[in-house]
Amino acid sequence: MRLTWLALFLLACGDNAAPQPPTPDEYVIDCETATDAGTFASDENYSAFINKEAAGALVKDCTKAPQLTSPQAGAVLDPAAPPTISFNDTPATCKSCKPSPIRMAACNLGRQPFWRRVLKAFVLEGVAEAHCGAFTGTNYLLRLTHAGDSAPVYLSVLSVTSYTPDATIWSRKLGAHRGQTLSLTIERAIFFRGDIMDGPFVQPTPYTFMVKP
Amino acid sequence: MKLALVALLLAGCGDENVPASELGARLFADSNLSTSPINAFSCATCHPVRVGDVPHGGPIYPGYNLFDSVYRPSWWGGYEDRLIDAINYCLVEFMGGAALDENEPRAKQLYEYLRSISPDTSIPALPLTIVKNVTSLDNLMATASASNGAAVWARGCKGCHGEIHTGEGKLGSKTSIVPEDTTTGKVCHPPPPQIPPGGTVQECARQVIVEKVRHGKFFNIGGLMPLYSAEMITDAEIADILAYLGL
Repeated sequence: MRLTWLALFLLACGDNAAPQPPTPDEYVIDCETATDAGTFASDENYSAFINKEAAGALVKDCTKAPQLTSPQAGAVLDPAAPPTISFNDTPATCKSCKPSPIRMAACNLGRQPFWRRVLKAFVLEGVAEAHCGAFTGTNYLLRLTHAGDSAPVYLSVLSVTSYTPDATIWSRKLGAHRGQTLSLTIERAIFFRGDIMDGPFVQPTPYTFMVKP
Repeated sequence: MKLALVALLLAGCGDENVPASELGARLFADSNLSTSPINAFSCATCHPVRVGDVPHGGPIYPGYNLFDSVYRPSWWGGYEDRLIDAINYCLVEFMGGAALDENEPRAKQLYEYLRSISPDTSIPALPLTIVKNVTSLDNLMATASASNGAAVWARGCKGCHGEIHTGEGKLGSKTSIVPEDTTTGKVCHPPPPQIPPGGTVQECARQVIVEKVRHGKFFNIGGLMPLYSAEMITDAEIADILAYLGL
């Protein structure tokens, strides 16, 4: 009994370490295989998304978040046949929501620390790269989730706006959720030399799909 | 009896009677100071706190000893003139977290801790010399010592990168295995245009590692590694590390 209380006491004083984020199922185009050195997705870009989310910097803004074009929201997803997933980088029009004041704050790039501005202003360019290079451009974080589950059903980091998920991965991931409703979110972030300088942005309302029973 | 135990349980973790400086000391050593779920750094990873200088031959840190740091007129080599900005620079750039607001309790606790170990109220600022180019590297490599490099690695690199070749004991899953992540990774296959024509993978890896040490994540390099200025490590010590790595 005393040991139980002691164990409870020690547990109660734990350091509450944050749970580790899930590992993406796919990087498209993976920096290790990219032929265009300037356009790729990488684990470091994924880390940048995760860190921004954890810092409360994810912005729901329909004017700056990707807009899904295919498959249509409400469609049935077949685990046996991954669809081509396509989206616009940002919507052509967005009538349904107002610009967020948070977005305005996030866009205030002039508030970078002086130290950072000095470093960015250096002419010096490095050749060293932590893994696949410090990315400059746009990346997307695509998540399929099932309500109530802590881990996403499917997760990919993208440098493209249209792709077809790997059939084996898709089948394994969605096969465990037949008949269930899943939500899809796509975050967009603009990177400069490895850091997210704008975003990430996500649509205020996720897209929903049914998995084929 | 049971009620007393419950009360003890509930009170056991309370911070009501703990001085702010003590709470700050805990934060200083806690990677959870950052909001990032993948961060492995705490302030103590990069900054010693000790009276007097770090002894010759002692640990090599990328950051300065933070004993007597609060009353410096500036930090980061003069680039930051507010302590909260200097702290937030590390927190955002290297620890991947959200910046602290100067009025939030954790910022005040960190300040109280640093103030408690800063008796000198007229201490000058410290220099931060960013090394642009290691022009003498070839000469230094001619006399570099692998055995010295092993010692330098143990003093300055092993704490984060673990053992060379295997990464055993490295800090966090994101830390690279040296030098394999460079010699086998895409960055040096083939060597990028910045490497002189005909450059080998070994030459590329050498330059990558020198730049990582000297520039950390900056100058289009990426990652989360802090830089080692000229005050923290010498070019000769870097050459010794390269010799130890077989580069």
